Amino acid sequence: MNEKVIATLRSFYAGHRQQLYSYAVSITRNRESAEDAIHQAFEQLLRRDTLPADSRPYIFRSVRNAALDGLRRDRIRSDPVLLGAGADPSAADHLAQDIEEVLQEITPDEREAIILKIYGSLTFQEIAAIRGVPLPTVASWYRRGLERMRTAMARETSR
Amino acid sequence: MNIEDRLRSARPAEPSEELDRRIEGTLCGAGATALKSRLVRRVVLTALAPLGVAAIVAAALILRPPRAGTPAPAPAAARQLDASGMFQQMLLSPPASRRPMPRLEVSLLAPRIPDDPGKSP
Repeated sequence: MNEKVIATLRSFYAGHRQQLYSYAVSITRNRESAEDAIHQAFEQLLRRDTLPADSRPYIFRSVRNAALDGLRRDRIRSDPVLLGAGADPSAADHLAQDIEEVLQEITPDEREAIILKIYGSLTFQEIAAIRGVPLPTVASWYRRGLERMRTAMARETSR
Repeated sequence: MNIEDRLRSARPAEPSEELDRRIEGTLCGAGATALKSRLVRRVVLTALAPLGVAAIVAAALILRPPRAGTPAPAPAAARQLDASGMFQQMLLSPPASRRPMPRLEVSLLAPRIPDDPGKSP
């Protein structure tokens, strides 16, 4: 095992734990499975001798692959866990619940693009590298997802 | 507030401390393994280095080409032998071929004492 890889991963986890978790949980929709996916991804990354110079998309992609493997392997119970909702629901938590519900109405591709862009602070270029698709495709997912969410939120508000 | 701002204002859920501990444990374990393998590699290299040097020196001695223009050691030894002891005496004395030597004549008919080489017949 390479000590440089270990140092890079330790530093990356300290700075991106929240983003990695948001991304993983948006795929697995389950807290435990998301954490398992992150842990499994790091175990696999530690077996590598080197990491790419720009390791951010690479590590996010590893977490994505581990999360998808978990989804395929296990029948995961879906929970609304993406956004922090405390035991005592305040107005902010209600907002979070609304957004969480609306996020489930858009496609997985659109949801991934939105989560990575807004909560992961990744660029379209980086998201395109993670997903292995052209940049305009990611931008399209993002815009279409937001549009669907806007429509769904308006529908919820009018009820 | 548009949808992007609403998303940004929502607080994403935090990973548990259990995940932090698991990741840290995995990284520490990997670090210990890396350190151990580095030490083992260093010990092995330290142990093998003298053997490697000895092997290289031996190979160089075996495969060394003969040096041209250098006299072989055997003639020098012969000269040393020639210049000492009884050989030295022989060298200082006149050659045996220049001294008169008694003549030996052999007859098949009867044994005969050879003449004195100093006397004329």
